[in-house]
Amino acid sequence: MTERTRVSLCADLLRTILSDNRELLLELQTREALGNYEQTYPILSELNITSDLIIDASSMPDTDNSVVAIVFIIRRVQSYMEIFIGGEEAELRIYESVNKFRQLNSIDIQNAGLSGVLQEFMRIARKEAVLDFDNATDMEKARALFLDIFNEFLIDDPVGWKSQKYMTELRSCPVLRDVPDDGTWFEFADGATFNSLVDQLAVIVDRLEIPLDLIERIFDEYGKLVDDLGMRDTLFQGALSAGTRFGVDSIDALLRGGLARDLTLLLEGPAIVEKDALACLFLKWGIEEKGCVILVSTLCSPEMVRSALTSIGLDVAALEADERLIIVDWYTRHLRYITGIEEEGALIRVSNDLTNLAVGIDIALRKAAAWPTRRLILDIVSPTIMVEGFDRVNDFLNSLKAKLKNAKCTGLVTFNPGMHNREDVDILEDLFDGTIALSRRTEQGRIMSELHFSSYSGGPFSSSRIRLDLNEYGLSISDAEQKFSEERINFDHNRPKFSLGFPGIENISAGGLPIGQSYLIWVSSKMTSAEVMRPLIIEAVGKGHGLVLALSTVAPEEVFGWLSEHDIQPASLIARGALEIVDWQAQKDSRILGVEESEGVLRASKDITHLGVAIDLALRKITETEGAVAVIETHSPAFRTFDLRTVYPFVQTMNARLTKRGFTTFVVMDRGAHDARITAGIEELFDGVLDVMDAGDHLELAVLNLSNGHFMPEYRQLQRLRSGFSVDVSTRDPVAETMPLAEDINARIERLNTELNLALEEKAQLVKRTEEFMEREVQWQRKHDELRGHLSNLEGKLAEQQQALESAEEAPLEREHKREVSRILAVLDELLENLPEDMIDRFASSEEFKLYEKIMDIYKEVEDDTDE
Amino acid sequence: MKARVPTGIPGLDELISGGFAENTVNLVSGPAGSAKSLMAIQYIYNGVKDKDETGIYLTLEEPRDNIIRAMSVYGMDITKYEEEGKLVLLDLGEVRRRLETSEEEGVVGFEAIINLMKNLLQFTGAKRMAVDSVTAIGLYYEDSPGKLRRELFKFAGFLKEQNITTLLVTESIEDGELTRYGIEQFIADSFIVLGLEDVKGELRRTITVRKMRFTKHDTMKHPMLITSSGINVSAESKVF
Repeated sequence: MTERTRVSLCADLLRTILSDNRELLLELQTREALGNYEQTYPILSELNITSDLIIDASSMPDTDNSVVAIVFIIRRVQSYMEIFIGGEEAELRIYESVNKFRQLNSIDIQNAGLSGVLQEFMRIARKEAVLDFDNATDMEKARALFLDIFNEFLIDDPVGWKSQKYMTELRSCPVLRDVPDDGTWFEFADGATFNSLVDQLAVIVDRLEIPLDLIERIFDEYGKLVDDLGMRDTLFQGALSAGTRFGVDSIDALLRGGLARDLTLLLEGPAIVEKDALACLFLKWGIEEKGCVILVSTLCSPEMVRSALTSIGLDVAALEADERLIIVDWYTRHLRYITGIEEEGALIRVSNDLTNLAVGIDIALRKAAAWPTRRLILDIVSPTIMVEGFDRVNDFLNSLKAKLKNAKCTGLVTFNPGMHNREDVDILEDLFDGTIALSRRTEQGRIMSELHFSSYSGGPFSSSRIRLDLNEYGLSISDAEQKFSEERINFDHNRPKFSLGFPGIENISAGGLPIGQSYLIWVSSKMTSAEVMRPLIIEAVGKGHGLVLALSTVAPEEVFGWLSEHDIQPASLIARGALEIVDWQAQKDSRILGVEESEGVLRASKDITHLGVAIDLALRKITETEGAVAVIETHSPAFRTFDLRTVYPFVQTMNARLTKRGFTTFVVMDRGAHDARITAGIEELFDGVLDVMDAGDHLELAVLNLSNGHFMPEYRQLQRLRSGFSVDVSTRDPVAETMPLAEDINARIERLNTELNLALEEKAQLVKRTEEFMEREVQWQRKHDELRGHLSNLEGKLAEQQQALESAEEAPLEREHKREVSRILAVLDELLENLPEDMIDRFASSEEFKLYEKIMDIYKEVEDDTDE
Repeated sequence: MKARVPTGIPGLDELISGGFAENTVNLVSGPAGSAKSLMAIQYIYNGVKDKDETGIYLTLEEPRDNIIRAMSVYGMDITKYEEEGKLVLLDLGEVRRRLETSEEEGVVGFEAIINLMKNLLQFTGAKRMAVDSVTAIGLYYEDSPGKLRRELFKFAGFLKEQNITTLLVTESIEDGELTRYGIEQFIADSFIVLGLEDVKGELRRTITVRKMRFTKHDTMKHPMLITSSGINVSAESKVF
């Protein structure tokens, strides 16, 4: 059979539509209304439509152009019908004709590749399904909705694989039956309920990977009905619901109506770990609601980001493999040159240029679009404002906010208001959809962190304050009603620590400061940098760590003197690559050209760039890098000499390079030498901050911030030693008493391990007992089967005996019968004797006489038995 | 992927994927005192010393003796290489004695250079050449910028046909154009800009690779130091 051409099929379709609606169309004088259609499509000059709506397309070539032209005519007819009978009715009529045509010509349509074309006319499944829509049942409405989704999905399917997959899913769905070949309808299987129907159809949607934006479009068309059916909140993990969560119970409790989707909030606060922890928890919820999360990191390397997310329980490797966690890395630019944008799967590295950062975020949002929900964190915007200028970054943030809204992405931007003037802070707070404010205060030497919503445009909220405490387990959050919630953070308590050479510091910092991080030490005007540096240096060298020093107030010779006092030969340290000194003090008195090296000391000129070159050189020359320590005291003079926009990136770069090489870095700065904005900005760049405060007649030390570890947030008195300080641990307040020390933690871990082992032993025993029970059960079952067998035998025997018994029961009845017959026969025999002789003779010689004798013999026995 | 011709200048080759692309015309510009000539000298010298590649250094401004003296300051002794014919240090003064020149002393056009080079390149078998500077040659065309453009283009075309890797030196105007005539960077395959910045009364040297055809390269500005052995580019350091 010859395959039908596309144009002939389309012509037949048009013919069907015209034929089915002839009466109406003739009445409407449709041919005249169609006008000179060949003006739009010249190919239609080959199509002949009479005033009686008879079609002749035999002259039309079999081309795509002809197909498009005929579809155009069909649409014209439909539009004309709409004028008189309304859009819905016209659409329904066209649909019915198209559907009929499809059913009659399904194979030809498929062979000709016209399925996609006809799908354009199949949009009104729901209308066809339910003409009286408002009075339909919930299941019928749900059916109509899903059919519309499927229909829309199948529109562009040139190869037909979508249709094939769709039909397979529909036909195997347990709550459906009677699915026709074109998949445009289904009936409900027996026992199907609304919930089961919706659940199963949602599974099909998921398997077909129908894009969320398509579903949203259909949902929007159905409007309020979707909410009435409760589908927006329950389908697709609630991705289409209006509300979500921040991800921290206590914070969500402040948002009375939940966190509205697609808003961007500002999380502002000083440089404290709680801010980072909350940002991570916000991100975590994005994963838990089955979405995709984007983290734009400016101060942490991808490795640090991964470590932080792992500590809150996320499987980072799996998430990155699925591209559910996307990291936009704006940190590595401090370490090496990045060419524009460098993509490595879920990691997007961006060069220095802020414009490229925006491009990187665009790429991330495109990757995230495939997921039902999206979250983005930009951490942290303040340093960028310092370097790039407020206006430029404000433009960037305005653009970012609009992008996130467009991409239906819930955003969180972290920010340190202490780094900016009030006017700029107000502008940013107004820009975003809400502000979560973190604050810190000191009360009687104790440092406390609090949080509250200062604004929120997504719904009602409470401005109550909640308290945050970082402890050994994570973040503890309590509200005004003393209700606690805890967010687990798995600190690496086994990470090696450094004690700075300050005895007692391990008591306020859980054993010391974790190595491999960067620390800022603010010194008071009552102490010199040397007083802090000396014990640090001796501690580092004494423990065999490599050491890089960058000095500006202390001369290298002074350092050599300290070492000699402890019987450490600086020359030998230098010779074996265990000590490198960058001297930025000499340039004050002598002319240094660029970087000069002599006797193991690198002297840098006044230029901060050359200071950077010298530090880079020192890092390259140091060979003992395992657990190496860097002590830098050049930053305060640098800030005094150069402008903020020059020095700030310098500090960022140096920190990044030292951390990358595994150094534990201590930067000593004079707090009194800088204004509040600079001190706030500097603190953001470090993993930990220690503050030495002038308390009048003595000095006090506190750990203000510490990543990857918990600490005692309070000031402790410093006692001067001959060459250093010790931290007073003798005074403890009740709160501090409850803070477990590192040793307590280890004991606790040991106890828990013991309990775990006991539990495992018990479990093993239970398993063994279970096995024994199982074995015994098998034996019982065997015996049971045997007995059963016996029982069956007995039953069989019983049945036989029963039968025998029944047989015996029948005998008396038969005997009685026989007796009666015998009596009658006896009577008959007597009567026979009284018959005339000739009759007797005649009977005696007959055949019957023998039978008589036989019967008499049988019944005579019975008589004899009875007599007995 | 073109082969690379390393400059041998510490740090520079890291920025340009190992060196200049082979058989290309490369341009270095900078203000006076930015170490352009030193870069060109080191490029030729290192080629002879490390790669045994014959090189020609054509000087149009500085006399030969000055060049030799400068080289010795940085530990570059060319005596042996000149004797072996591996390094040709060509002073314009010598060229003038052999060629017809314009009425202005010390000015010679591209055509003359090309004529000279044709024979010299064949004779020496040179693989590297440095021309210090294009600015000096351009003076020949001062009255006709259009002709300068055309001749410079022809010169670059000539160089590319010679199977050599060339470094041209040109001046930039302080606080002005990156090159003297504004066109040199367009005919070159690569363009390196040396900078001199005043930082708190101190001069900071910088280097930026603005363009390099056929090469993935670092376009950031980096600090550059002059040490006792010549130029040292701090490829991993940044300018703040």
